[in-house]
Amino acid sequence: MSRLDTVLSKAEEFLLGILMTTASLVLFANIIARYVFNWGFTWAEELVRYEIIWMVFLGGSVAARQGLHIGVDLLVRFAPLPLRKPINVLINAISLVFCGFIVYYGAALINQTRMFGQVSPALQMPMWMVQLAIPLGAGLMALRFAQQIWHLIVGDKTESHLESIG
Amino acid sequence: MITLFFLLLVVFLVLGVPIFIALSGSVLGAMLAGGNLPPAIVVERLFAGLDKFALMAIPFFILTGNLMNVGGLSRRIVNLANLLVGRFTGGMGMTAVSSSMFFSAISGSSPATVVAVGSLLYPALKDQGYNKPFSIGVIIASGSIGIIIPPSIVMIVYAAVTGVSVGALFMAGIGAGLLYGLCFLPYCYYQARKDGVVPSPPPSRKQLWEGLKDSSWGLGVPIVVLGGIYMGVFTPTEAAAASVIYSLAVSALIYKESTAAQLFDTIKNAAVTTAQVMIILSAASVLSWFLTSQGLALTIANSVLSLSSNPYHVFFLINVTVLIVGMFIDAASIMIILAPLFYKIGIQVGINPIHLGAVLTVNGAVGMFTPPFGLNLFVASSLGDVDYIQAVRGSFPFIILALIALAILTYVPEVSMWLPRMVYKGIV
Repeated sequence: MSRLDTVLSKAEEFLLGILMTTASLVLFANIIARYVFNWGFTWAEELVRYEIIWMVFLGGSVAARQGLHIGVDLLVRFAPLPLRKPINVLINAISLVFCGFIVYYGAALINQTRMFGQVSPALQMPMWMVQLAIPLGAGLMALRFAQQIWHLIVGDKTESHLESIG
Repeated sequence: MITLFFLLLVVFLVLGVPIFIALSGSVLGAMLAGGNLPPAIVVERLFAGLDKFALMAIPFFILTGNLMNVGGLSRRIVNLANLLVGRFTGGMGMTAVSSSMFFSAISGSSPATVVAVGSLLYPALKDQGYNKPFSIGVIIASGSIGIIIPPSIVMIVYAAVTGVSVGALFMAGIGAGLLYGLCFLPYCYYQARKDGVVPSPPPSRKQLWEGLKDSSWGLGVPIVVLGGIYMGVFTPTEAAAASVIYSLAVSALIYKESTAAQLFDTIKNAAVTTAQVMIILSAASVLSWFLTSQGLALTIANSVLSLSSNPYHVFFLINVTVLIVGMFIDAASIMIILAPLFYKIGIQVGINPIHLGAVLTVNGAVGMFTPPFGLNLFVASSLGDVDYIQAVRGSFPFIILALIALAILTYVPEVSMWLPRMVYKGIV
């Protein structure tokens, strides 16, 4: 179980690095191509947009695992000690429910896009592959929020979530 | 439906639910409870909110800041600032302000500036004999300059939602950021006098030259970015990507302090920071769409215009609104949610959209450290022996000073507008 967790986390982070690196290189190459060869590729902007959108929602999962999502932890900070755990559980439960809905409605949206066979203007890539980032990211985040709840109730990591902000 | 939405939003925010979930979850919750809007629209808006090429500058500016920092840039910048202003009474406080200003020219984010400058200067300030509230206050407040001096994430968002020129807005940020920083300096002098702080000895010419040389590679970033955009070599997003390549080259060829594996770690971390920031933008665009679709945006616009059509009065109302909203949510989200509305109102009463963007950005900067929810106040607690209450107390005098700067910028447009007017003649 924890092996699977490590593999998943490593894979997510590796993908993030690849997306960020290639996006920078594609844009830079496009500038060079435009000036040196007088020929820019029209699909560069589109590719970068889609790469970053994927990066944001995958990164959302990493941020959820590390408790890095920016939130206002004033209440938790000033609540009496015995109340902190229930508040944290509630926060994670709300987040879990929200992500569940996004997975559900995201899947519906993707089905619809697939049925219409919508493709992107420049790359001619199926749009559902781009949109997939949202339900997939939300699903991975849901996993992390559930994990946090589990840790809060079973384990002793009371302070880990929302400790580090920004 | 609207009542339920507001209720959920406030409950989520106060409870401490991640902001992106508070912003879009409150909309989703209200839609699920009633009304005839299909909830799948929320997913569509989450996607469409990010699907703008102009916003794609954000990850690259974040990465540039991180890359330059791995090479020890913040240490070099703080050193340079100290060489420049450390000799004056209040010099260490002024060093905090001016290194934040330098650092802002490389990074587009305010919390990043607080951490980079604060971790070096907060201990130094206390060592020199400044009291604790001042020491933390000056770090928190000058960190907010991060979003004013270009490149600025908040300005990129404003430009993306209103369609104004990012280049011109960046130019306006220079004047605005300089004035904002200047307003903090007299207080540093006053506090040093009161605490009887002895300033550092003046540097020799050689030290000054060494310091300048040492940090010059970092200061090349704003030249690449602003120069490139101004000369039309590339779009702001391309400029951001070019500054990434520039910082990679500086790290790999000149500083040579980090291995390829360390660089890849930096890139991964920048990706996570990007996700933290941009997922909130995505969610804010859900909220923005909801306010428009419910006719709320129009109602607000009409009620503002019915009060007055005098640009001075309208500007005052806009500022007060943003200050209040800024106590609860971050500047970039405010830009997504409210800037399109204020842009339309501004056009009707004759406010220059570039000037409006600069003022909203500065207002957002004040919001970075106003209690209860100013992000910098929380970030400051990562600096060691500071708690939230002390951070609030220390920042209070700076809030007053920042509001004075805001008032000047609002009612003396030339402070921010001289540079864009000069550079973009005829367009602005």
